[in-house]
Amino acid sequence: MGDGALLHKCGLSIEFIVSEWRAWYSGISEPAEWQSWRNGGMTPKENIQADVSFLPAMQRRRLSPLSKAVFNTAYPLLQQRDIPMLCCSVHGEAKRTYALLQDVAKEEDLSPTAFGLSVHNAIVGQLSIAGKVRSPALALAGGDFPLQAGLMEAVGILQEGTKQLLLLFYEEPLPEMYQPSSESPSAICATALLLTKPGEESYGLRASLLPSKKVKVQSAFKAPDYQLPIVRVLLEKSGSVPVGLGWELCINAD
Amino acid sequence: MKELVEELKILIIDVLNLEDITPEEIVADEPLFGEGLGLDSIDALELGLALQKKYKISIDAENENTKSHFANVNSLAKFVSGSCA
Repeated sequence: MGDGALLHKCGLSIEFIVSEWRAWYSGISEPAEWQSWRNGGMTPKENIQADVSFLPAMQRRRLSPLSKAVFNTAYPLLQQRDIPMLCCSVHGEAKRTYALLQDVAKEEDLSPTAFGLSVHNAIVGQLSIAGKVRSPALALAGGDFPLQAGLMEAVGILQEGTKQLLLLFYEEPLPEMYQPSSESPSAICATALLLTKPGEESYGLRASLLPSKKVKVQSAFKAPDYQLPIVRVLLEKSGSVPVGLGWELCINAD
Repeated sequence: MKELVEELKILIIDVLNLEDITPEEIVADEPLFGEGLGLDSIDALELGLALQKKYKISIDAENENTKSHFANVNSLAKFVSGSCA
């Protein structure tokens, strides 16, 4: 008997539904483009920004390339609904923060806008303002295993009685100075998952978090493109992805 | 003064990333904040910093007059030219 089956027998299975998802990987965005990526036909582009033309100009102007990617994936899933949001990122707005630190080093006055938007919850804050979301909005630091951090927090929120929430992961390439300490993400990448508590009304892909001693997982500081394996199993509509030490995410597993 | 008004309009567009707005669209005697152009409090801080950097003027946030200086582009131009003189 595997650990998952044992856990299930003990009544501890952590199950949820991925009702909808979207991801943006530097130009790879729509389902057909992701299928092409999966078959090796499409790779991320350089110097491309995610489309956020659905926002009024005054709301667009403060968005960084990274936050545009988040908005591009999250906004269509929100559909003007007021549901909780959970943002999870290892490095957050690394470029904006690095530029600010350079100004500090030069003893220059800091831009109030850049300062306000460099904090880890700035993106989810902007999202909640633009989307008029008054439900709780959380920002998590991903650490070594952002998928585990984000998914565990998300299922915890669902277990507490929330019917639906939006879980977001996002990263951007790191400034060169940080690269001795961490591998840099290959390109800007954002993933939005609309998660629903299992029940009669829920639709989508059945997902579960299962403990497994055999999973091998690399730290996001070593393998920073951690979102892509999740996108791959979502595209394939079945499979499993290691998310942390001793934990895996299974999609449509029986 | 007319040149300074035009200069300030371009400064506002640049420092506040108003990429979709042209200087002609900023009316010199219409409110910058709230109604009119629709700028907010972070814009006020950003604009204040830009004015301090460019014209080497000091802005006192506690001063009651500061709010009226920032009412529109014309009042800003008067304030800047008065402070530089």
